[in-house]
Amino acid sequence: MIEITAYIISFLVMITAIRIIIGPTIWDRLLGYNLVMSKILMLIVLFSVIFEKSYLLDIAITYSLIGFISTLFIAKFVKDRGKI
Amino acid sequence: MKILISNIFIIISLVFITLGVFGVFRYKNFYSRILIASYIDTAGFLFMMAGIIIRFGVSWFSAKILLIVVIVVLINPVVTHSIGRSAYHGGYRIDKEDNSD
Repeated sequence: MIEITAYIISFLVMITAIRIIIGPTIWDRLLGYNLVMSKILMLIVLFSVIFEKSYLLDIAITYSLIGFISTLFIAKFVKDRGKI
Repeated sequence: MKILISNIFIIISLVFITLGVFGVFRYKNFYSRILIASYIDTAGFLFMMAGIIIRFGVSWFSAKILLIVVIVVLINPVVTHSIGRSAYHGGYRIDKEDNSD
């Protein structure tokens, strides 16, 4: 069951990536990046369940923190057109 | 029995996530799209993590997953708000007469 979930979510990540490509404005791309990032976070947790390795969860924690902070700074950078 | 409950939770979260992905492409203007996508995506995330925690019961594994759930629940809305705010203050306006959705 967990493997099938991992397949479905990785398929959905590719569909969300289409939103990043065709997004008319840069903020759509930022939104797509945020969505892809949280879905990849789910994938990491699913892989840690499949492989029964608990150190993969530390990777998930660091990845989520760094991903969120990077989205925050990109949003702030884009808002001021580069004049932070 | 425990596996069954966790599978149900994971199926619910899959339904939420597919609805979120569908919501990203259905809505035309940006602001309703950002609301739907990140809102349902966080809900899907919560259901999946609940399913996994039920499957593993009380252990260090589910304690780490709880930490991830707390992080996501706290930070995801903040990030989505910052994207919407940067869109608004960056000068992205929706033309008023387009009120299709």
